Amino acid sequence: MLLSPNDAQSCLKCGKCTSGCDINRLDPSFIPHRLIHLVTMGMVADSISEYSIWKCSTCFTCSERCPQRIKVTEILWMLKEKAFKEGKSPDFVSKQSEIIKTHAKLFPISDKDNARRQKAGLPVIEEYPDGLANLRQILGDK
Amino acid sequence: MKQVGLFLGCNIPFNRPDIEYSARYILKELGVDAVDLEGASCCPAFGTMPSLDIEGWAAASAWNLVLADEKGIDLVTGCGSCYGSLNEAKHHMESHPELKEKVNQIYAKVGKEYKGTAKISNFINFLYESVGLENIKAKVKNNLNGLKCAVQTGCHNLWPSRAYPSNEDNTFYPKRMREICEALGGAAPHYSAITDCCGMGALRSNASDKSLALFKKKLDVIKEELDPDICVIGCSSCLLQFDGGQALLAEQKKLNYQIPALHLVQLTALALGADVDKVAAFAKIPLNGVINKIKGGN
Repeated sequence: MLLSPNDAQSCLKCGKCTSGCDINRLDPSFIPHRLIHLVTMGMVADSISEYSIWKCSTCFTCSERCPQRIKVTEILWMLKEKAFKEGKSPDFVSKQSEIIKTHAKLFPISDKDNARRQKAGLPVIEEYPDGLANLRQILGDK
Repeated sequence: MKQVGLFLGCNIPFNRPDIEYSARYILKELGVDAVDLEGASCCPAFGTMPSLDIEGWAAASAWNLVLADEKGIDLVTGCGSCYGSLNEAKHHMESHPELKEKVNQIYAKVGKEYKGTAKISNFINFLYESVGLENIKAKVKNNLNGLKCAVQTGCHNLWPSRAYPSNEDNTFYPKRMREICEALGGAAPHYSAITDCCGMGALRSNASDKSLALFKKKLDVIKEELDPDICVIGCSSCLLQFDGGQALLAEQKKLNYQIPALHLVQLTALALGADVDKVAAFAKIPLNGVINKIKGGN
C-alpha cells in the first residue's frame, strides 16, 4: 500500500471530483468527495464499509480534475485493498485476481483460441511459454 | 528498419485477434518491424491487481518491461488498459524506489532485474508521433472518402496523465485520433461526450447493467450530435463495449440504432489496403455501409 489517509488531507471538499464523475451521474450513491472526506476524517472503516467503492470505473477523471492533485482513484485503491484484506470485496474481484495469479493472464489462450487465431492468419500463442513459468511461480507464492 | 515490441495484452489475442492482425498489417506497411514478446504476462488492468495488491501488480507489470529491456526495444499496445497499467506501474516504481527495490528482490530469485529503460506507447501516439501524419497519408491506398468518424480515445489512453511519456495538449479535448482519421481521408468532429467513460472494465464485471447504461448515455450523445458512419476506438477494451455492448443492448431491446465500430488500427489497416474480412473478422456490427462509403457509394 503506497498511499495513506494523509495523502487525502489537502482535500477542499469542492466536489469537482464528483461533478466530473460519470459513475455519479449514473448512480448518485457513488460520491467520490464523500469517500475522500471520510478518509480525511480518519473514518477509513466507514468508507470501506460502503459497497460503493467497488463502483469506481478507475477512469482517473477525478484525479485529473482535482485542483489539489489528490490521487482520488488511488485513494480508492487503498480502500479497496484494505476491504479486500478484510474479506469485504465482491466475488469477481478475488476471482479475477486468482486467475491472474494462476495463469499470469486474465484470458489464457487455449487450443481452441489458437485454432481461431490461425484461421485469422495469426501466429500460435503458447498458453504457458517457458518464460512465463517464473512469473507464475512468483505470483502463485504471493 | 525501425523495431517496436508488440504488447498484445490479454484481451486482443483472446477476444479480438482481428485487432492484432490489423496492428501487424499496418506496422509492416509503415516499415516497422513488430517484435513479439514471448512470455509476456497480463498488464494487469486497474480493476484487478492494482486494487488489491500493489506489489503483486508491480511485479506482474514490470515483467513485461523487463522482457522489452532484454530485447532493447520500446513497446506499443492497442489496449488502453495495458497502456495505463504498464505506464502507471513504471511511474510508481520511479516515484517510490522502495517498490522498485521490492520488485527486484522478488526478481532476484529468478535471475531478473527491472531497470525501467523501455518506454510504453499506444497506437494513437505511435502513429501520431513515431510515424507521423504525413507518412501515414503517403501510405493510404483506400482514402476514407469523408467517412464521418466518432472518435473514442479511451480514459486510460489519456489518464493518469502524470504517468505518460507523451499526451494530448489538453487531455479533456483530445485531437490526435481525430487528426489521424483526417489523414486517412475521414472527418472526425469533436463531440461533447468525447472524454466520457464507456463503462468498460471493472464496472462491466461488477455491474453489467450500469456499465451498459453508461455506455448508452455516451452512444446517444454520439448519435444525436454527430450521427457518424463509424465509431473509431483507441482502446481494445472500449471496442468490446462499443461493438459487443451495442449487440447486448439491442438484444435487451434498449437500442434502436447501430453504429459500426472499429479500433483505430483496424480503420488504418482498411485505409492502407488490408482486406476487410481479415481486418474486421470478429466485428459484431456489419460494416457494409462503411465499406460502401470508402468505395465511393452512399
